Amino acid sequence: MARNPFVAAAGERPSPLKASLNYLLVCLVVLAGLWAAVGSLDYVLDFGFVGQVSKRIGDGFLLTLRISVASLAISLAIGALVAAGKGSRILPIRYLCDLYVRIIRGTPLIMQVYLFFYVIGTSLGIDDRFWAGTLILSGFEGAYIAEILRGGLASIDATQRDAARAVGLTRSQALRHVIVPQMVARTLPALTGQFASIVKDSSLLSLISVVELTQTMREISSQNFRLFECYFLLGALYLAITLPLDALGRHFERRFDYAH
Amino acid sequence: MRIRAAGLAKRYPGSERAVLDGLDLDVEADALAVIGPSGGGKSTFLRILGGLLAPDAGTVEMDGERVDYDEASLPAYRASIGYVFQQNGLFQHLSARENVVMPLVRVHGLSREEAGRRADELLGRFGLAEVADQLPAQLSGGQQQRAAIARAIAPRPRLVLLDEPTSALDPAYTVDILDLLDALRRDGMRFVIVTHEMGFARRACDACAFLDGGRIVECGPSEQVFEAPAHEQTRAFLGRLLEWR
Ligand SMILES: Nc1ncnc2c1ncn2[C@@H]1O[C@H](COP(=O)(O)OP(=O)(O)O)[C@@H](O)[C@H]1O
Ligand SMILES: [Mg+2]
Repeated sequence: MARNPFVAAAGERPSPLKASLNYLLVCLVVLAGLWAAVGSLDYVLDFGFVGQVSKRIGDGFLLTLRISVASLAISLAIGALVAAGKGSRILPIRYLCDLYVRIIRGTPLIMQVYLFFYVIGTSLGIDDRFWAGTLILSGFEGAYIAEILRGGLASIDATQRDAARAVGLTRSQALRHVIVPQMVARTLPALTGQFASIVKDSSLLSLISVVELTQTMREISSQNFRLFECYFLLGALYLAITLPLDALGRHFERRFDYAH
Repeated sequence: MRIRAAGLAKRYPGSERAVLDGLDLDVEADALAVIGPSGGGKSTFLRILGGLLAPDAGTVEMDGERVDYDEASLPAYRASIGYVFQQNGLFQHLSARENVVMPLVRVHGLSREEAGRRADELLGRFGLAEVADQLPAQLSGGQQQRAAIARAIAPRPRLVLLDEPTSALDPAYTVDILDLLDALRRDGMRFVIVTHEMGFARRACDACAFLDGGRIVECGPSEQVFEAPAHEQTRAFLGRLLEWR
């Protein structure tokens, strides 16, 4: 029976060849659509300028990476503290952490960037834009990471803790040899996804003139008016970071699938 | 082995009812079965015996030695006792072999080689050599319980506590595990088992305690408890069980 090359049953994994061919087809159609859209504007795409500004773009790209990595580290620390604080027996600490998560998750990042940079940053006299921006971003992502970590902790079966105690592990040994490894396994896929979010969210730091990738492109496009090209390129550069992260997240998901 | 419990009381936080209510027990046995209706407090009692839970009141003595329910001294006490849970007691992120090896290395200070040798020997004997490197989720329920027993006895504990180790298993696996426990008992393993397998309680255990309503209603040689229960409560419980036999 000749199988339809464009169809897979629900839940069926198509063969790699079939999958890649269909994926390629979709990409081509999307590109063609974009091309047609641009063409209908009577606009000729010209990426010739890229050579002259490649150093600036490279610097912006690197700064985005540096901000993202620093924010990941700081927001992991914040997230761990807040996750622990939310389970604290001391109620003011518990509620402080709860309030923090609610406010951060309940307001848009753009408002936090402006508010914390201009109001709080100015009053505290912080004028290093890299660190101000990184800290604001970390504060934002920390709330999400706290929720991921809390979810991971809550999903560990009570019997696992009992078993750790029953074999004679001390509290810190149980944490180190049982709880943390299981937490890592359960949260790594989500944390990888959160890292991709950090990379994208860092673009909002362009609002306070941190010359990361997005701000670099904004500046370039305002000088040469090559708006389409600049933003195509910008999207491609972000995808160059986020797509591998997405693949990494899937890899972790499969690698740590033992939980269920 | 002599187990003495005196005046044990336990009420879970936020609960009205006392789960254990002045439980007394004094028994000399190498294999003790604890039987009784669900919710009677058997698991709670076993957790207290194993040092996983501190009683609100009362004392426990193991071979004349009083258990100190102080968090600082409990890890050492727990390490001297093996514990097998009803299910999911294996560390989910470790292979069957690592489940045995890790506590030997981290708690009992064995070298990895020595711990590995002991694990391989036990797992081989329990018919788990083939699956030793698999994670618990990849094992059948019966294999998981055998690995859990291997982990419990690997450090050569003075006593093994088993909380309904076969309740989550199919009948065929249940017989497997009971046979294994019986063989281990003949090799000198001492244990307390909470079980609903009355045949096992009666024939493989030398003493049997009937726990109901947070107290030990009666405790004596297994044969005697099953043949001639001294209390009406015990008679009623056993009678109900025999209804479908
Ligand atoms: N962690 C807990 N918190 C509150 N109540 C509990 C807890 N564990 C057990 N209980 C209650 O205590 C009673 C006795 O439980 P348990 O010791 O598990 O009895 P058994 O093992 O004989 O079935 C039950 O009513 C149960 O609901
Ligand atoms: Mg129970």
